[in-house]
Amino acid sequence: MSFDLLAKSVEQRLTLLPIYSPGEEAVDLHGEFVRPEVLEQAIFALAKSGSREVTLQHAQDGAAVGELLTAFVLPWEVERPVFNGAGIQKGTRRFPPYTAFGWFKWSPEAFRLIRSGLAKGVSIEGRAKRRPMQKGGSALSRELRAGWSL
Amino acid sequence: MGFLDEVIGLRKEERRPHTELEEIELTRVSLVDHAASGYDDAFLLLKSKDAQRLQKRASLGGAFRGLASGAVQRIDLG
Repeated sequence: MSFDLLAKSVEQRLTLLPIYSPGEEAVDLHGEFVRPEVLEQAIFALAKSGSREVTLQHAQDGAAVGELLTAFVLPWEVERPVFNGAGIQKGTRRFPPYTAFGWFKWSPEAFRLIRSGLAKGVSIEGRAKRRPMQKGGSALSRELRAGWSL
Repeated sequence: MGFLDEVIGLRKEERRPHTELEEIELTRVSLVDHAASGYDDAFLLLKSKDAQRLQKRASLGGAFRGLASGAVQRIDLG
């Protein structure tokens, strides 16, 4: 998800960021989407027992560059000003109900990367069933379990 | 579609929902360390000392190896 900073603490190297928005209108970079109730359960499971380490997206065995302190979903639509890593307002963004957000604490190097504007967002990977959509929008019955990232 | 578009995904204005994800199990959170929105940012990232330091501490995936090797420079961005 794009780097739309909602809040940060420079002293503590903390950021509050959107992780993922559900629904067909919030289709992601891969043309995939998640229904709100599905995302909610997945975030609950992540918060309960998932890995909290944050790595660089394309590092296969990389060291942690940050920690996901908490992840949560808000069941309401939220419209807030959003900022880039340097703290400059990018505009106002509407987050649909059940958008997932997270508080992150970063290493000094990663936080400098964020503040410079070179970090482009956060991504979550995992496993899911893929259900291809027909042209009319309804899902096909064929299911495929594969690795993916949001 | 260029190399990075194939690796990273379509640009936002070209996105169309075509796949629904179900029964999700989240396993890994990551900081997006390249530009999903354009090539210029990816080159800027390669020049960043902090980015290079972070990359040194990690074994890189295929996409970034491609960038680091200079392969991107030979690609037609159009």
